[in-house]
Amino acid sequence: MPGDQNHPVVLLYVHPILGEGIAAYVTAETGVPVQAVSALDHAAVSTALSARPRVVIFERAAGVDLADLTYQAPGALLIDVSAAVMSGTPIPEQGQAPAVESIVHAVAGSGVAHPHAS
Amino acid sequence: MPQGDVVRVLLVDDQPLFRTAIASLINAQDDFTVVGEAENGLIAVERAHELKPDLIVMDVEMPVMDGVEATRLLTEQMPAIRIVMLTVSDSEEHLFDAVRNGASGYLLKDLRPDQLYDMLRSVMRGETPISPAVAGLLISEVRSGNWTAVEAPSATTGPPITARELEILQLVAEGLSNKQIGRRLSITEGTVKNHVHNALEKLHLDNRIQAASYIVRQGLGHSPDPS
Repeated sequence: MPGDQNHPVVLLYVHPILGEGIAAYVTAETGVPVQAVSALDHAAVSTALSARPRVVIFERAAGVDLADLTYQAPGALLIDVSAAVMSGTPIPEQGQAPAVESIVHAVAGSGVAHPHAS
Repeated sequence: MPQGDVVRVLLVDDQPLFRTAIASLINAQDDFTVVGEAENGLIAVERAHELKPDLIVMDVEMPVMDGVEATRLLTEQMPAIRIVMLTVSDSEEHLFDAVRNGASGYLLKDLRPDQLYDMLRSVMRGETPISPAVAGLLISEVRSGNWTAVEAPSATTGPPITARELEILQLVAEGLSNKQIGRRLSITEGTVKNHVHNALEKLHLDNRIQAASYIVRQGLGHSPDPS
């Protein structure tokens, strides 16, 4: 749920199947809940970031880019996965999507394993 | 594939992270399992021969061999496999090329997971799902009569379709689903499906979109209702 303090890893997605899929995979691999939020829903993004996540995995969108997140989620580890849905020849300045193993490592090693309050 | 079996899926996309995401979603469904992945069309063809999947979820733009060419080859070599495109490309050219070469569906990557599952299941029922954002392109093209990609079968080859099959294909060309056609003609959806299947076989067509194109180009469509 947006703003839930027990979900300090946030994933902001543009493409639901990418976002929900990565969130499910990383959660299964690490045991750390990943809160997937539409990057196009500004209110939900704002609420999710107000929980001071330690890791923010994101697809770039209006109001959701490295500069925005550096300001809105200070101290969070920021992981840009936008390139995972870019088609054709990669554009160097757009970067490469990180390997899923590095995302899992970042989430697992982020110190966010916490009691799962219910 | 007998009903009740788990659908074996091959995922083809040049982005490993995207493949992981889709595999995670698909594997969480009881009726699907991902049996393999490939990073381009050429490897997809090889994997398809090794793994014999029921369904291939195929990106369009990939290095080495794109998804359209791989679909063309696989449709020739392993026609029983259903192939659905899953892409960010909403270009007419990619859409038409994919359908022309045997794709059973064309989906955009902006789908929600539940929409993806529904559309993959519909492919396995013999339907031809198209993402709403690009379906309009196809309908416009077919209606304009500009799409000549599907060769008309020779009148001397194969058995002619029956009057009932023609009637049903005319309704397919109007964009009706099997369920809607069944309601219109007071027959079951299964009967409609059988008629469509038989007609496609007789006309050597791969899917409903090609059938719609055929009906329009042959001038066999219903006249629009006067309004």
